[in-house]
Amino acid sequence: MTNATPNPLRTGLAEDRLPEPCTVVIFGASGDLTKRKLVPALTSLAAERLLPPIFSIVGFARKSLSDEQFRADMKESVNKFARHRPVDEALWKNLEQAMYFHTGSYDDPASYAALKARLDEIDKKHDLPGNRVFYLSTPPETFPIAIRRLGEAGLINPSESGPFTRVIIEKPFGVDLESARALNKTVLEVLREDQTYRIDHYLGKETVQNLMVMRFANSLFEPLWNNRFVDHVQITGAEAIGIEGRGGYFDHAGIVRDMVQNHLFQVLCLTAMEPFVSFTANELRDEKVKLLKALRPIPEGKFDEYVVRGQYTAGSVSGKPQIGYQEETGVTKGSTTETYVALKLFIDNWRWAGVPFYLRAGKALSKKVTEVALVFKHAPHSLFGSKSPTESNVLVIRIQPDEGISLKFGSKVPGNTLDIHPVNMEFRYGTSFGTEPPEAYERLLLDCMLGDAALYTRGDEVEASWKYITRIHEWWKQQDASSDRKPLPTYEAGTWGPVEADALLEEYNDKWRRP
Amino acid sequence: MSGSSFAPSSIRPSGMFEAFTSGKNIGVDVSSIERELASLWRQASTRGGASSDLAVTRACMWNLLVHISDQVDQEVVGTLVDEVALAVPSRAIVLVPSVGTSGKEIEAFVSANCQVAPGGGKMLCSEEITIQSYAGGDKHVPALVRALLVPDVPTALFWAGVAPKDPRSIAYFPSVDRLVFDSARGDSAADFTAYATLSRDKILVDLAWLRTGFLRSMLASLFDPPTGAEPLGRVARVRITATPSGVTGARLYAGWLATRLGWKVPPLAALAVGSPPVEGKTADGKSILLEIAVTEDRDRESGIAKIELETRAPNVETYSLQDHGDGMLSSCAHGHASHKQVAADLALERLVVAALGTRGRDSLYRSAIERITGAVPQTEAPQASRQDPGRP
Repeated sequence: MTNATPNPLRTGLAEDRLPEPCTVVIFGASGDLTKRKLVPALTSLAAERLLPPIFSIVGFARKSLSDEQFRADMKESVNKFARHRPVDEALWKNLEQAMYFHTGSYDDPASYAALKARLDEIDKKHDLPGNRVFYLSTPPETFPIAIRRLGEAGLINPSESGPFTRVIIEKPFGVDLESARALNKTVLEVLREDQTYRIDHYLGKETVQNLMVMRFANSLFEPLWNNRFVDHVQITGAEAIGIEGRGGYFDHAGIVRDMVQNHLFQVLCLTAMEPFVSFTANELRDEKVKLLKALRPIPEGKFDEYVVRGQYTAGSVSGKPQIGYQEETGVTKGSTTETYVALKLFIDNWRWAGVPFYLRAGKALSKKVTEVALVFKHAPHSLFGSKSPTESNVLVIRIQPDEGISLKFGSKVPGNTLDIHPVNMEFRYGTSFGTEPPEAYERLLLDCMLGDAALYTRGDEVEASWKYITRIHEWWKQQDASSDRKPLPTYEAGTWGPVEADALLEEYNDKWRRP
Repeated sequence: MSGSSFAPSSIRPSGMFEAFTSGKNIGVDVSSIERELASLWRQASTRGGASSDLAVTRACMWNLLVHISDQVDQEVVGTLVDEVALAVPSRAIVLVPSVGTSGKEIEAFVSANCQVAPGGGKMLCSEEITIQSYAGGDKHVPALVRALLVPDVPTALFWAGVAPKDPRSIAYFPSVDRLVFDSARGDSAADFTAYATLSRDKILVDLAWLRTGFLRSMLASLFDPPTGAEPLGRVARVRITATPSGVTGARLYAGWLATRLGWKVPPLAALAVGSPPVEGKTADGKSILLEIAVTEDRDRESGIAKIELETRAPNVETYSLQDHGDGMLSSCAHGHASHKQVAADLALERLVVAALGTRGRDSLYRSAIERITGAVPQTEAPQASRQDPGRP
């Protein structure tokens, strides 16, 4: 943050959210994320004139690459992946003249000293004030050392005044509670919490943000959003694809680490949390932490009643054959890593007491869909006897694909008899607005440059979610080591998961929705 | 495109639209028009046969009344309405005023415009009702429009053509919440006096003002850290170089600067090409000169080619913005290198979309036109709230 007299010309401008001049340094710049998401997102921001007038990008990786090669690679990626493509030549020329590549090793102090010298030189050349965003898009095991080295090299400004330093840390943030705590400790030895931006790109999605808008900007929904009216909630994060050659990574992670601890828990928080006092980073994140703390711990010895895992076997998804998980490259023979999980959660607070929240996530399921469904209780009295609707009202918030909202309610079928049938009222963003929403990374990068961490996760939030998840992993570990362990449930690729998952809902006579 | 032309550029590939047009003049009673529209929705839903299971959806954010005059090509307006509806789903009611006689006083035509989504899914973006009045028919228009407005959504009136001399005449059109117009159109500069009055109870969105939006932001960025706002207190001279059609925008820009920096200036309507600079006083009583120069190089979408701010002697510093006319703008703060940015896309449909967005509400505009007319600046009355605990 730089101290200066407030700028009177900024007041009231539509473009009041313009970041201060800065450099974005991407660690892991030769990787896929940089090519597919980060540089295309920065280019889209430039096209929308949301980058500061003075701005530079520095790629950092082990690979040896010249500035020119890096620029050429990035241009190719932007033309392939950016929202605004092909890139405007004048725009690109302007952007690439301040785009550099720096070869270095993530653990070598000399690389960081050289990076510092290079950044100082770039600041001087472009008249930059020394504001920097470091984006750690490297393997998670390199996060602690990279953060320490940044601190040792004097690349982090510890003071709240002077040029800003912010560090974006990609997921996964730890693999369990212990590792997340250790990483938080390392991070906070070098950075202040307000300099730390733990990214979960789900929060950058328009529809995820719209969950908050829908709940808190409309007076229609919030009065119904509680245990008086909601029977249960289903949150689904389904992938149609298998692990697609990522066996080496996935076999160590599993779907709970890959999808649930981060993405689905974020969706759960935004769906169930209380209204925040103001839309600021800490107020919003306080509410999410309160929600996570209100999750009822699974009672010891009753994990079977709350969690079901599964693994896909060979099948067919969308008309294409899908091999079984055990046959995937990089998967250890006999692996018990879950490719599907279903959870039953309870939130022990005033609003949600007694309402089951069912979460499921999986690979190689019937189709790709992420959604939240609020299933409402039946009307208190059946006025229409046997003709009364048997199906509940359901409000579905579709996060991807075909983002939108649908409401199912009963309607009289036209005719002289009283037949009541459920009808769906649909609102889809894509069919209502012809404009394309920004990519999640555009929003998140812009927010970080602006110093707005509302859509990033806080340290205590990450730990609270790991606290819940780690107990499940520990229980599975015990099960796997046990001599009388039950066989791992399986499901045929292209179905909606193992039949065992249905049992989770039976206690309350609920059923999984077919999204 | 210069600031005064009227032609939308395309923001979508051709062939994406599918229009369902009634093709017949229909009675002007409301139920006929609504019935005809409903039939077009049905056509749109069933076109493509039974396999077309993606329901046609309708969303509506605005009633968009479009007033066209005889200088404006009706077909161009039709294209514009389609383009705008992509971003802002609306019911458009195009009003074509008295044109000769036809034996009828008033006629209506309807069409529904679908955007075909990638993959063949169909969706409906807009419905368009054209009301053509003939001699003596104008008196029927307000009542008809009133009945055709979609309830519970706001109404904007887009004045496509030379801005009305007296904008209070829009009272003829019912329920207008927002007036969108272009003060830069026409041969003479708009007389903002009546607009300043109207702005007290209507939202006015002037496309000439929106065209200079990015230039305001860019100039502001010169005084963000690390430079900071200190030099703004030492500005002694402002020179704005405009194209012939950009003079109104230049006045608005000068009005904005004067408002934001607290300068006391005579009515800026006196700022004209070739006239001597207008002299005012800064907040601390020092002299400030404002002038407008003109360039014949018309190739500037914003209508403004250059803005220069010069500080007082002895430390004369210059802060400038320049539109190079090649899609790039450069900004230069004293003692710093020049920096380039891509110019904003100022296509008409984008401006109209912006005018219908929340960005259309701009209290800075009202202050700027008050500086032009010399009207006493009005303070915003606080809005009463039902939840306001202080309310008696």
